[in-house]
Amino acid sequence: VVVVVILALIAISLLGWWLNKRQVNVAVMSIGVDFFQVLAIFSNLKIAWPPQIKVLFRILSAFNLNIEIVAPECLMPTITFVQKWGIIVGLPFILAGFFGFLYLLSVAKKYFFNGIREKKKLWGSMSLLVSSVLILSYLFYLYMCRTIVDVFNCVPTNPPDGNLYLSASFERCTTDFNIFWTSPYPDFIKDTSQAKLYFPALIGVIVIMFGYPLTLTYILHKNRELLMEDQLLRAKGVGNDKLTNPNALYFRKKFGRSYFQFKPEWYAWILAILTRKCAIAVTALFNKSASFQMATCLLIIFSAYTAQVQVLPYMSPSDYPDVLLKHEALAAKGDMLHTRLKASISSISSMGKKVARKNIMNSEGTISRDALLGLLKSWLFNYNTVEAVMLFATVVVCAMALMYQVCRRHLMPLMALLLAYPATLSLSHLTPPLLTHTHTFSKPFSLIEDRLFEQHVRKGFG
Amino acid sequence: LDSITAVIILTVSLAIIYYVTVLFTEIYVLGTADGRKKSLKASKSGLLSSSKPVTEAEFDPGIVSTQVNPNFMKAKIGTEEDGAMSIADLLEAIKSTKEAPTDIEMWNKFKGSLQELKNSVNQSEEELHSLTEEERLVKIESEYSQSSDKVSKTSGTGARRVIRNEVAASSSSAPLRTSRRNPLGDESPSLTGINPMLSSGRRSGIFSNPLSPGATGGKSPSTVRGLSTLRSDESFSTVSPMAGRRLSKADASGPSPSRADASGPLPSS
Repeated sequence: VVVVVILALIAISLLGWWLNKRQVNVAVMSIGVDFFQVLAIFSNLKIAWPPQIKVLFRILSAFNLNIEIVAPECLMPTITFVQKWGIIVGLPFILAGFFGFLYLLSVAKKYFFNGIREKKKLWGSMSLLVSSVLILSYLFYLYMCRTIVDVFNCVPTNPPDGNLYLSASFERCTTDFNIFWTSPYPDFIKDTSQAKLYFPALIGVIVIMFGYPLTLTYILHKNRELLMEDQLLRAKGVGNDKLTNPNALYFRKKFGRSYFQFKPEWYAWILAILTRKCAIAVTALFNKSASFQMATCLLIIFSAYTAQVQVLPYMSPSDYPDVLLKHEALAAKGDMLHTRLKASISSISSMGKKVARKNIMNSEGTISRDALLGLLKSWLFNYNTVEAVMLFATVVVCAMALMYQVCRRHLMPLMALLLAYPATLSLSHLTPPLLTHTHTFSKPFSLIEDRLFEQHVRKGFG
Repeated sequence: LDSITAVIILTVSLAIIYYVTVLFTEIYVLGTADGRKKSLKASKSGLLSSSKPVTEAEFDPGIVSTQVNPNFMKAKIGTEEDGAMSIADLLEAIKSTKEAPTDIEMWNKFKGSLQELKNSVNQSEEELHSLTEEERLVKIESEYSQSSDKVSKTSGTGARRVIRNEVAASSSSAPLRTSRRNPLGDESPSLTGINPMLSSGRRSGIFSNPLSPGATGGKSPSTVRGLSTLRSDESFSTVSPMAGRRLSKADASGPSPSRADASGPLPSS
């Protein structure tokens, strides 16, 4: 198993290197990873999932870099919950330390073997280290939050025996956390995992659950103008070298992975994603009722879905012209921020050819199939659509789980849902402002309408 | 399987199929960072970065605007005050021949000139990095005096004619080189003593691509002055070639917070 895991890690590293080499936009990858991570976390909820779904979730938990997959208990039968908890929470720090060590080795090699003395050249690849640590933190965030919350997750037995037990290790625990602030601890809790991990978990809450997003907020907000400039340059198809990105290149290299997939004005959307992940991890504590727990998850995911389709924060390649147009329009209106940004980037030429928009309706008054397909393709492969579809699928899974919990094998609610959605979709086409959550799915229709209108106006003026 | 389990599996499977389709399309069909193969081709294996001459098949006038973009001029060439203004003249000269950018031979000559300029700049940077702070200043001073002479020789329309002749005569010699590098070796975007991007907009052709079809001579000075609005979080420093001192942001503040003003007295041309 260990060999397989090591081989898998090497394969993932090679894949990452290859994708990086081909400069594949990994925005779409992060969307998928988020989806799989959230689904995998559902398996830890109190819902009595069917065995097939459990297996599915267990497979998907690989995206959480879940060490449970390699069954550490089998490799080391004496491993305790405390040790396992320490390994999971400490793993990103260990990996970050390992990267740091490799970085120092490369600096030493440059210094001693290549004879480089100039600081800039010696420490030049620091941005790569920071970028790697940020990717690690993002990947591990949900799993770490979930693991930290495990220390506070006490459940009664069924039938109840009057005591509470730690959900993860079936040891006695308490929800009266005041006793950890007094000494000595009561006998029933003295040598338990919860007593040993209470303070480390509190530090984890501060440093990881809140510290990481808050630090990221500070960095992104402080450099918002710089990163907006960087995103506008990205929309221009340039910015990967000092020549075309004189101001923000080093910021891009260091922190680019935290904002590169979003539109300039939604540069901090990663915080919305992290908040969603953190909230889902915390639902583990609402363990009195499985239905309540799942309903909470449904609420979180549905809120995320609504926000997503309302804001459309992702910046796909097909969105680049619109992002630049919007920026130009805001600058023309006198928006101070965009005026400054325009001054910074105006002398930098765009790369690539301008996107030509085909007319949907040709001169004979018939609909052009190519133009229509092109429009649908750009909608289908838009990252906002991908994110909306993933969130919608998660909403469906939550709703199904809720039904499964409340009335198993009862088909009526299921049929109601399956029938309700297409009905809502068609209604939303007639009255789009009323039902924002269907916006994404009715988007192709509105795109076609917009394009026809644009063509009509152009014809009129022409 | 009960119906609810089936629906969950179906939903997740469809989502995964859709996701994998998009992912593979991204990798294999779009294939590049921004789904623009053309851009990547232009930037990675572009004409300028290649040392071999351009063939008929490779020649793409559209790439000219990418390769000879104003940023290249800003970062690598410098300004008139640096003694490198003649590159703008060079571009104007090429433009005025009406042969570029459609003539391959001319383009190859021009490309060769720029490539050499690029090499000379890199070499100069390496030289400077190997020096101590004091040696750098001495070198800058000497280069400055040389470039001042050059500017006096190469300014004016007569100089343009000379350069035009130079370009027409030979593509092998580097037409001119930039003079001063930032002696502090920091990561400032300004590679020259005076940030050419900000120093002035007096000469048309600095900020725009004179080779691009329909170019009218670049941004107006007023557009460039728009840059004087400094970003609050931006730090910059530069060395005044005359005074040889480091200017701080505080120096640049004042009634007219333009960075052009902050860059100290300009050498006479």
